[in-house]
Amino acid sequence: MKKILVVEDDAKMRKMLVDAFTEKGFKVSEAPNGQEGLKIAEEFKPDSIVLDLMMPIMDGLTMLTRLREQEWGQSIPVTILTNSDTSSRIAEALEKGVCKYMIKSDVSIDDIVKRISDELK
Amino acid sequence: MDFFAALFIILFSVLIIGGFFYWKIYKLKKDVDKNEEKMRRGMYELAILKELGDRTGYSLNIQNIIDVITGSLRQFIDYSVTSYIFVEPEKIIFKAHLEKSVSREFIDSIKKRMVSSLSAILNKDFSKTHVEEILSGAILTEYMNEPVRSFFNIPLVIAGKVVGILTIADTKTGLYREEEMTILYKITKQASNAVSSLQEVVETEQRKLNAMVASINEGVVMTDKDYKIVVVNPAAKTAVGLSSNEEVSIFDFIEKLGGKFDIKEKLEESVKLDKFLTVDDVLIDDRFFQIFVSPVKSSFGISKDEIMGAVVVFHDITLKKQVEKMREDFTSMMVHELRSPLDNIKKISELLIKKKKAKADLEYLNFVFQDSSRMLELVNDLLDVAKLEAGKFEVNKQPSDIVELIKERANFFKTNAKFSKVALETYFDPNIPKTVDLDPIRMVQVLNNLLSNAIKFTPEKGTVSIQALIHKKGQDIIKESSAAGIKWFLNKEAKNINDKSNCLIVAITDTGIGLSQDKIVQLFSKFKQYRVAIEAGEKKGTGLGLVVVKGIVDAHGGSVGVVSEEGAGSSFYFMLPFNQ
Repeated sequence: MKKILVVEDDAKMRKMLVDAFTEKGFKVSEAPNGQEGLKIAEEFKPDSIVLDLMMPIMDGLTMLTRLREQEWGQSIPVTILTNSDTSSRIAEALEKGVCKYMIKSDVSIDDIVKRISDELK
Repeated sequence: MDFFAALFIILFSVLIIGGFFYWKIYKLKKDVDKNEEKMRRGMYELAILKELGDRTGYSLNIQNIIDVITGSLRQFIDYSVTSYIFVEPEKIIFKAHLEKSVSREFIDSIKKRMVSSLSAILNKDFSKTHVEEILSGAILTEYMNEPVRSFFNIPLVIAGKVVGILTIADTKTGLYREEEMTILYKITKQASNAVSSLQEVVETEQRKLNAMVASINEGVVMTDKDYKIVVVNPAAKTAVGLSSNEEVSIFDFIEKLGGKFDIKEKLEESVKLDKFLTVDDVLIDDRFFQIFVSPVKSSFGISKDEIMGAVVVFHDITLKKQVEKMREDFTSMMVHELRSPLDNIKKISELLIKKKKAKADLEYLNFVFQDSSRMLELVNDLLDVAKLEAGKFEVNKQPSDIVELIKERANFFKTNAKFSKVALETYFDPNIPKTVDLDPIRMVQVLNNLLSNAIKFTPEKGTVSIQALIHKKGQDIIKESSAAGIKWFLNKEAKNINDKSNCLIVAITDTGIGLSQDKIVQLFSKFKQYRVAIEAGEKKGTGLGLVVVKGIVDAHGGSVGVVSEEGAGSSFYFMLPFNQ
């Protein structure tokens, strides 16, 4: 069973994603910020991470940087899911080795689940 | 006897009369000479005054004025060398013009005499002061070793103050008698008076200018052509962190500004290229400045339009920056606090709709989905227009799969189209390459806006098609589109489009009511579309979407347009330049 980690501060969005991925047959873990996300990722060793950018305590870009510094975290595919469409931020994320990014309001929950599961096939 | 006596008398009278006439003529000639001399002197004084006025312009350079005086002495007095010394704060300037060649000793001798005279007049020791020597005219020679035999000193007085000494010297003896000396005195006195009154005028003007500049809120620094500060106001000093009441030079500014703003380089650029320069967002200490540098030109006299210096203006934009920052913070707050919950509502309703609810529930859920979609679009458009207007719109081009992007959008709008009972179709030209350079995030916004409009304004059972085609310059768009199986209204514009350079054309074609020409004109300007939308019927829109579309496509170097047929439908299209 493939494992997915959802790092998202918005509880409703997080629940929708967790439910949708679970329904699709993934083993899902969740975190409300980057700091928690890093901690869980180290134990959980997800096959893919869905990561929000704007979060309290530790934002998505910082978590991504820290993750890539770890040996175990270098090759985990990360999908940025954000409402911030600032191109420079996304460009920065891309440089850090992100597979995909999605603007929340441009995709439905189904789209997100479909794209990530296609990638993990 | 009588004959001789008569002859004698005649001769005598002739002599007397002749003598008288001769004397008369001589006297007359002398008067004429005298008058001429007087006139000449008068003319000379006038000439000096005029020349002084012309040359001094706005800044009064005493040295220049003395040059003018000495330069014109030649027509009155004979001399080998005319020279002057002039006291500056750090040094003495000794300038000599050689009318004839003289020896080095000759020059040294007059220099020494002049410095000691000046020392006596001013009661000051100049033995250790640096003397800068400038020679002009004839050359120094070793073969002539005539000493100074005639020498005459005259102090240069300007506004009641001795500023230097003017000297004439010659190798011949006994040249300078009273007459010459009187002339020289008169000339220098006249010139001194002229300079003094000119200086007064200039000082008054300078005081007026200073008072005016001091009261300006902007920092102002004005320099002459040698970048010496002519006027500086307290605001300029405080801007760079200098105390507002200290005397400052351009070097203080250079030092204080450091690498933040190269004031010398900018001044040079402005003066040499006669250019107005603007430098934005210079951070000095904790304040932001917009700095302008402009050449200053003379507005009168023979030097009219000649560049005399430059002015630097420091415009404090800190407050503006703070407001800008606040607006940016507010915008990003809006993004997060407004967009996120709306997006959640939309996504939740979409999820519930797919869970096969009872028909009544489904209808209400549709309402929630449609309204939240509409609000989300509106919020997105408002934020984008705000960004466009603030000039903060970034476009980050990267090789993108445009076909995939369009397919995704079609998929995303499926739910929307289904509700509106509109068919959604895609048509692609097989020539479209795997990737095209564009900003995929922005392109999604463009497609979102065009698609949502098309679906909104197409009646039930209508069709909305997304069409993409590569157009080659000079090719017939009608043939190109028919080869790709594309049906659109663009063929009406074939004449205009055919000549366009190679480009990618993406069109959203609907089977709606179509638009009249005068409405099309108003479409892409902010607020105008609102009225068009109202007139179109019950379906509303703010019209901001098209403004965003145009902004994004323009930023890509492309163009947008609409071709419509009333009652048949419209094609909204954009063209992106494409070099392959």
